[in-house]
Amino acid sequence: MTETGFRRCMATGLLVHLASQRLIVFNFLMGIISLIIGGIAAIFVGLTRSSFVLLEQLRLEHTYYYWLNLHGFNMLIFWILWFEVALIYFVATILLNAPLYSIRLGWLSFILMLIGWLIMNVMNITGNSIVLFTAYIPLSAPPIFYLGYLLFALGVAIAVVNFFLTLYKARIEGKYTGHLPLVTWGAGIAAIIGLVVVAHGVFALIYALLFSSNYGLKGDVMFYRWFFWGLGHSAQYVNVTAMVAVWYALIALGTGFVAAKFINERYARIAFAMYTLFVVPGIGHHILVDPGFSTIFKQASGSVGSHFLSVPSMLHALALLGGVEATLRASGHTSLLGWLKKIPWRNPAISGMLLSMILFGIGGITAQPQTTLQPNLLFHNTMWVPGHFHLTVVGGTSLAFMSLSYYIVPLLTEKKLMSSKIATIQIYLFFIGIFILALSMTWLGWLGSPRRTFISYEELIEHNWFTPAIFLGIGALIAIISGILFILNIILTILVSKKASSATELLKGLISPIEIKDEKESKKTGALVIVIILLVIIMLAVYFVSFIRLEGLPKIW
Amino acid sequence: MTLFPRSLEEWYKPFTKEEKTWFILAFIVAIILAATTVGWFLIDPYHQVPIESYAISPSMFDKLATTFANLYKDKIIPEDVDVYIVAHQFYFTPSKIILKKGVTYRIHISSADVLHGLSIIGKDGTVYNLMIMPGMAYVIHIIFDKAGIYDIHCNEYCGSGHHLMTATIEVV
Ligand code: HEM
Ligand SMILES: [Cu+2]
Ligand SMILES: [Cu+2]
Repeated sequence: MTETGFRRCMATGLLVHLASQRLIVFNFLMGIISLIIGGIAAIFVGLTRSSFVLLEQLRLEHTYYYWLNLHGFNMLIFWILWFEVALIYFVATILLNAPLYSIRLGWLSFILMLIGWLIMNVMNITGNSIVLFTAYIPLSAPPIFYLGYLLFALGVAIAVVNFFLTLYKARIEGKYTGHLPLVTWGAGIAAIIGLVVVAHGVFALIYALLFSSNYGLKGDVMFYRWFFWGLGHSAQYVNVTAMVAVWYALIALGTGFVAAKFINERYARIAFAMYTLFVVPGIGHHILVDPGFSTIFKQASGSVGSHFLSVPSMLHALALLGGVEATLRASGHTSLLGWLKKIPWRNPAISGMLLSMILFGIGGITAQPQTTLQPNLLFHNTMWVPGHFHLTVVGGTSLAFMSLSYYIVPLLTEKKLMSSKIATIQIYLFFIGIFILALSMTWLGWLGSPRRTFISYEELIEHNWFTPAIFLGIGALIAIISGILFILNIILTILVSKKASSATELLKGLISPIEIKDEKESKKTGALVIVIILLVIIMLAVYFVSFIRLEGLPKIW
Repeated sequence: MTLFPRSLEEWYKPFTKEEKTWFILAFIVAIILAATTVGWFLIDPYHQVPIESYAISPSMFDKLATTFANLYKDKIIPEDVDVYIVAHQFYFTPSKIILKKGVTYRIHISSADVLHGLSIIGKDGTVYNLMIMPGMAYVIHIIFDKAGIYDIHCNEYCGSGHHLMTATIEVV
């Protein structure tokens, strides 16, 4: 018997609180709607920055910033944050057999976010607020826009508080025994960093609001930039931490919980905790080439501080890849790298996790020179930067979230996924598309092409930006096709797919269990070799090459 | 199990050899990265982010740069003269400067209105990017060793005509 208001999940045996589940679904759907809007805008920004669209009219000289604005807000802020709210509710309720602390507070948060979202998107769509997501003063939008931004942030803050209260209540009411699951723990770290985000965000946005409503505030750009990036930078670490938590969920889901046993959770938990230590010092890497800030401050905060931020992500790389290796070795594949071939590459969770890790890892490599004081001169505000974050928050976070959606949606709706084959194909297409898109952006950045800028034909040719811009367009088209497949698969599952009658039917095509033969074989040497090649040798090489290039340029100081 | 609650004994595992090695190595990598940027001050003091800056009102700086632009229009700027460039929505004043190669120039740059950016992009692979801020002037010390044309491009979104903001440095 289940208590009233709950159902028992046929696949996992977990107790699902129905009112909490409804909230999760609504937040998730708002994420999907935002992804659709951002995706439509991606077509225009992608094609405009490509060079194979031959008609100058199609390259949108006059509306480029309109679409870029819509793309940035809907992708980075709305899609990601709606999904993350759904995610923290999911890991705090369903994984712990608990109801949300307060359903009312949940809806309050939802409605605030919805109002903020509506205000901002109406302003964006009508073209009244083309300030891009950074909204740097003194460029300004009508005050109501900032109010919308604030309401959205407030809604998120309430969701985070509700999440913590849920954990607390589940604990004291004994809904679970022992320690929080690793995934919930990781999401909890994301939520803690979320509080840092909100604290800075409220400050920056109220400041911009006062400025735009003409109360005589002079508006100091330096000051605003610092607080904006207190929000913006920390928010990226919410995304990183949430993504890593999702990786740990995916490795468990994809293997039918087998591989999760081979993860060293203590290692993972220490790594998660390290994020909170190193986030705030990193804020300074956004102002490395601003006048006015002192060099020592830039150096300490921006560069030195930021490099330590990559340590926890590096640790997670080994924890996860090592987990996969150990599992496969225990199932009988004992050569150094032989287990790589035995990875269930067609599984949407395992491929999603590993491909997301690869893209995120490359993003981590391009991050190193750009976060460093002197080489930042080469990369600041060039396409290198969107190249970097299309690897991290698109290839990394968004891909991981997409992959998890293929599990969460069937588990919540009790409907069979429309097509698990297309799910896998979608994941590979997204990987290929974003890989090409982001690396061509990186290439353009190396050649000095500025970001957030419409580039005319003459300039594309004059600066040798033409060739990488062809690749950019190809990558964009592949990624967009993949995005359409994702959205169709999810929407059709919700609308068309039939209820599953058994756990096996529900999970068909989603689980690739691995048979364990000898647990003692579980070494992680192959994974260590891989991370050393990628995250030590290649990372340092790219880093030093940037310094060597700088050395050869005109003297500047 | 990463998805289910567990007891302490279950998850509190000792690190394996690989995990220990990587833990130390990850910190060593971060230390190498950080040490390089600090060490670079000693290795190469002439490829550094400019440090000199001063507060000045946007209108005042605009006047300075406009005067400068009128004085040196189409002229080679002499060695001991400071260069002034002001960024507006959506143009730079002066829109072209002529510098001598091998000479150290001090370029003062600031904005008359919103946030802008300065990219210097040259055929020889030169790419430098800095921020241009209203109310704060940046003083850039720079030496061009090769003659040629360097393009200036605004690199911070500053409104609908942002991409039109270009200027030229000619080095002779
Ligand atoms: C179909 C996939 C996508 C394509 C083709 C695409 C393409 C682009 C392009 C061409 C730009 C403009 C770069 C510039 O001019 O500075 C851009 C900017 C951006 N994209 Fe995407 N993108 C895609 C997906 C995403 C996703 C999923 C996210 C979110 C997580 C995202 C977040 C952003 C952000 C935050 C910006 C910067 C906006 C700004 O500078 O204000 N993109 N994207
Ligand atoms: Cu940052
Ligand atoms: Cu501009």
